[in-house]
Amino acid sequence: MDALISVVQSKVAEPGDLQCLDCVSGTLVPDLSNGKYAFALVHCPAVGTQGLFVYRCQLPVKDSSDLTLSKVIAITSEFQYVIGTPTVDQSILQVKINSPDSALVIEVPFEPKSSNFFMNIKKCANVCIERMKQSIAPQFQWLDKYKAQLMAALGSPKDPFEPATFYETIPASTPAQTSQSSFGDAFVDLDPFADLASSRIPHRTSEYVSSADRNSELLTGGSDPALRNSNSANTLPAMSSQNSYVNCPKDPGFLVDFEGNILTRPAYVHPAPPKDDSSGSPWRQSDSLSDSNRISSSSSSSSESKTLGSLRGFEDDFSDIRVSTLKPTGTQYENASMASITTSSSTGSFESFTDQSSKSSTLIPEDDTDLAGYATIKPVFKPAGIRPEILKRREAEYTFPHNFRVFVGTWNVNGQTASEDLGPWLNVDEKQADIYAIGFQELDLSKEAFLFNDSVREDEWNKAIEKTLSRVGAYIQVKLIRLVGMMLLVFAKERHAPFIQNVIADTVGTGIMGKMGNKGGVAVRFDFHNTSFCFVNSHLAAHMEEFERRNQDYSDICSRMKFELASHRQPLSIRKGHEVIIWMGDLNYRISDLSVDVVKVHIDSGNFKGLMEYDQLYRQLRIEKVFKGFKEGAITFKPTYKYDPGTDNWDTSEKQRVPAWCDRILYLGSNIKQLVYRSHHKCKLSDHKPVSSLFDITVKVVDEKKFKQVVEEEIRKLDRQENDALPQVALSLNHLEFKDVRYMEPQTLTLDVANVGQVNTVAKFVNKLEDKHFCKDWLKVEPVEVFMMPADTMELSLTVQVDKNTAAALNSGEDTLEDILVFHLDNGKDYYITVSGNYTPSSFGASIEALVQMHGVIGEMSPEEIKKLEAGTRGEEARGADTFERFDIPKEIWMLVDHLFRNATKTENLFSEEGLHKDVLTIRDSLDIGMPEEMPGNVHSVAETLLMFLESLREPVIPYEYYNKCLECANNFTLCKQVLSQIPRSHRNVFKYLAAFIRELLMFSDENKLDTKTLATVFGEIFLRAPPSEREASLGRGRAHMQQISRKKATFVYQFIINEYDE
Amino acid sequence: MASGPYNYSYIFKYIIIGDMGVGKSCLLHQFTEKKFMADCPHTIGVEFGTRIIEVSGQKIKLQIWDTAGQERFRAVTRSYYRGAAGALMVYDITRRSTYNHLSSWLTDARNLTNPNTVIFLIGNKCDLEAQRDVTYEEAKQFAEENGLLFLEASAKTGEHVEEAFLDTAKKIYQNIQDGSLDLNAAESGVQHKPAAPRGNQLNTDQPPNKEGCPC
Repeated sequence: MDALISVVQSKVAEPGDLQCLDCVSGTLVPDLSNGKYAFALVHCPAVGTQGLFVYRCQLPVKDSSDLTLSKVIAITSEFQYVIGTPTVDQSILQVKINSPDSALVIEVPFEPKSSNFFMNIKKCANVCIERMKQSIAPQFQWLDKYKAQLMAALGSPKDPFEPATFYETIPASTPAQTSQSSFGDAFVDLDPFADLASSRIPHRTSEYVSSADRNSELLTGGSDPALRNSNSANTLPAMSSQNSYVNCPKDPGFLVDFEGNILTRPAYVHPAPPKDDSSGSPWRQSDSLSDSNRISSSSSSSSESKTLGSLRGFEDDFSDIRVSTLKPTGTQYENASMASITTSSSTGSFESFTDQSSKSSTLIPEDDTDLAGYATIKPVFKPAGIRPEILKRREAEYTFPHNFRVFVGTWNVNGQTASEDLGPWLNVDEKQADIYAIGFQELDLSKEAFLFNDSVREDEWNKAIEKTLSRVGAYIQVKLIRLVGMMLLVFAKERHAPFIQNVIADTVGTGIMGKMGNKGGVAVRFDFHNTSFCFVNSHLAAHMEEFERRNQDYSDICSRMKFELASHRQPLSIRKGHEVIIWMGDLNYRISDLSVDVVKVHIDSGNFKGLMEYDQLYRQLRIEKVFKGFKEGAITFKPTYKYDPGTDNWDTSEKQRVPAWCDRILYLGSNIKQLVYRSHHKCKLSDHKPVSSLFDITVKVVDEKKFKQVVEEEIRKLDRQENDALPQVALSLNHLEFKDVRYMEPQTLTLDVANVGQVNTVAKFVNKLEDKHFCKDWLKVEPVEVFMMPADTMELSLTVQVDKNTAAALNSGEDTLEDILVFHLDNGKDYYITVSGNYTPSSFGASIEALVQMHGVIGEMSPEEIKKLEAGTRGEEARGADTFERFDIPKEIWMLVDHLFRNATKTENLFSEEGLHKDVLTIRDSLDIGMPEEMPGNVHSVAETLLMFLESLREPVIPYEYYNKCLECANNFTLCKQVLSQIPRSHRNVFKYLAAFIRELLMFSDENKLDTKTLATVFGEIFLRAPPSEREASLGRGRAHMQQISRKKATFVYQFIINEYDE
Repeated sequence: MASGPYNYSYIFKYIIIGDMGVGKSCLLHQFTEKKFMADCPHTIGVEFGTRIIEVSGQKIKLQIWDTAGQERFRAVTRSYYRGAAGALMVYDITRRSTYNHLSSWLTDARNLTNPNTVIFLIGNKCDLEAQRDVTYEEAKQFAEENGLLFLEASAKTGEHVEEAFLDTAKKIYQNIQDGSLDLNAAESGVQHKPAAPRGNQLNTDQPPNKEGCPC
């Protein structure tokens, strides 16, 4: 561990368990005692906050007694510090520290350790800010003790802070002091940090105070345009210290990090509404919708430029949109109190923009006769539902080319004030440019600009340009972006404002440490109609031999410049995402390998072409080391560097610089036509001459009508694609008709299903609302579910099979052969397959009651008669006698039994050997259609048919309602007889008839090998069938239960076989 | 940000109901494809179409179920009412019977959808003015009495077709905005699709799976 940290640690550990996190040694500025100080970051673990402890050191520092506490500053959220530039010999770094109750300037060694120290402090301050956001107030009471110690030590002559006077109000300085102060001016150069807070240090001379005031104006001016305006307008004398002291707490403040970025305080500190952008860090004000698309009512003079929006911090100046309404004087518009339009720095909403365009259109003079078609064009907005890439592909269909004149100018102004008329540079062309892009370098060479990126020159030059342009026409400022001395301004004719969208600017510093803004580039990108523009203004590394550094600066600017666009996932860069790129600036490439005199001779002889061979940029460009792909027009003007300011004379200083074409304009893009490339020697205030170029740029203008049409088509296409991507099948049939379906005779029809869609699909039959099964019981479908790839074809087979379970309902008309199947595609639509058919009624499935009333075969009866009989049979036994004579038992049963009785009493395995299905169908026909003399088929078939017939009876021989009673009394013959006496007569007749037949068969048991138990069991199952309502319940009750039921059924029948039964 | 060709924040489910031959499928086709299907076969089943629309800056995906109109399918098509945010009830202005059946369709729609389902009455075939059998006024009155939105439209010319589908969506969106339609309710017929990575949401833009609904 660092020795100093150890000593401080031992010091702070004495009274409490504090920790020294980091420590650096250094001095104080101004330092009257020439002492050495230790600056320690002290952490209080109990509450988690930190303080900056300043100790005066007794050298050499050996132990804690060598340290005397001289100041304590709480590191709160308002703690600020500004890192200065290192001294010339790069050994000392100045840091200005500012907190609500203290301010001091310290000097520490320029080394990484110091940087780390301040980074640590910054982290601590950030923690405080985070806490405050969560409404947790950081606690600093632990510092009170040390502050009290310092108060007690009041009066110590060695303490430069002198607490007793430190908090006193500083007497106001007078304007006279300021103006007379030569020392103060010098001090600015010596000490750029003397500031509002240090103005409270009473030891300073009055000159010191006044100079500090001057700087405080610069500081506060950056964040307070009102203050700045009053400064620049010289309407007020230098402000009093009193004022700056009062202003201090209100000043939004700033922090600077080691990259030289000025960080504004988080939004919650400001009275301004919090920004809604969540993407950035809390420090950074980023472009957001709320900041854009403002409409300002400018009631002041028409040429005034106003910065809209925040008064928050320096950075805002870049992100906010400026509105400047420049009007030709003397026109009817001059006095109009109007709303002028700003362009958006991100995509605007349709409504707001339409609104604006309508306002502006009323104000635009129809001055462009050459824009006949163009004048009627309205801004078109990209529809939200469709990706821009898709529309981009068809751009040619909805845009038409239109040429726009673009003026590009660059000038290194060498820090001079805007005291010269810019007309000879900007207003030399007959035709008004549609867009002006103007780049400055060395706009401001002051330390303030370098360190705080604040510059009074910005406003000064901006106004000068606006004034100059206003003489030409009505222009609005699209964007102003500045980094230290590099400033880029983009203006457009006011009428183009609605068509300029997605304006974004960024800066890249490539100067000291590769980061500072003394060199680097600033850029503005935007979309003008449907063409993307990017203007870059750069100031590359200086010195003849540093051309490779310049190449590197170019690469760095290209790679680090980023434009975040809401509609793009990846930020755009200069070279990616722009159709028109124009790069201007003091690129600083020199003419090398020739002596000054030779160069001047060439210049005088006008041999620019020959001289160009020695131009570094020309050489580097040719071997593609820099600006790859860029073009530059032929240079037909004298080198623009270096002149004695105010003259056209080459540099007469000692250095005798070789003249060079430092100031250049390059372009990249397919639709750019350079018209002129020139310098302007009438502008003399700088050691550079301005350069400009005119371009005709072909821009893709959107034809609203065609655009809408294309959008419409594309949306249709996408919808269609989506709809087409839905699974789709084709069915060869959607209706299946089964003709003359007969009992026990399955019929099968097939249909093909083809996957005609573009995707795999799973298709299956699904249940209809509230149905337990997707089809009726008489229908079987195979397969129920299919997986199909595109172009697959599958066969579905549907089989209608009427059996004992379904026949009764079809006979009675309770059910029909009609069904709708829902064939569902996963993630897709449903197909209905309808099934219908006619069923040929059969005695199978009929009821005993109906059958006994049928004199003829069932096949001769109409379905309606059958339905009527079936309908009349429900428990209304007596009624039939009125119409016609009833049989005792159904003739079908008599025929079957009689046949067996006559032919099969001695046949072995009767009722256990299977019959032939073919025979069974023939026998069924003989019963249903016609009664042949002789029953067809063998006896086993007849026996099986008998059982099947009995099984299919609509009501079993023992009707359902007696089922349970019979089972209950199965062991008691008397009770059995009682039950039997209650069942309908025809049923009882059938029962008795069959029981008698069984007894008859048993008389021949020696031959037919039948036994009582077997027959009782076989007929028990047939006579006694559980009511449908109980079937499912009993199924779930297990095998033992079923066996028990079967035994009871058999017992019931058995009783009537072994006992003689008579009514 | 979006992946895929386009993105949207809501899905609304619509059903189209009404007698056979009133032009339900043609309305759907006109809406999704901007074309008139001259020889449109009877729908035997349920057609399905989708289209992205924009309402108040919100991209909304409409999932439209076009049901078979034949009476014999009536029982089956009732399965589809559930979870519809919008119901387009269509009659044919040249066939009074289709108008007379509206109360029966309306009963189904009321019974089988949720109380917030927006029901839009469309008198189709308004291009066939000469054969008009139902006056605009009486239909308008019917719509007003029953709290329905109403337009006469033509699937053939496209007249008012967009309006019918879009106005329904606007009304649904309005119901969402004023809180009367609870998106969390199981059968709101609306799915909100927050701008989350698509990977989490693969299924939300698909028609509801049949297995998911107890029908």
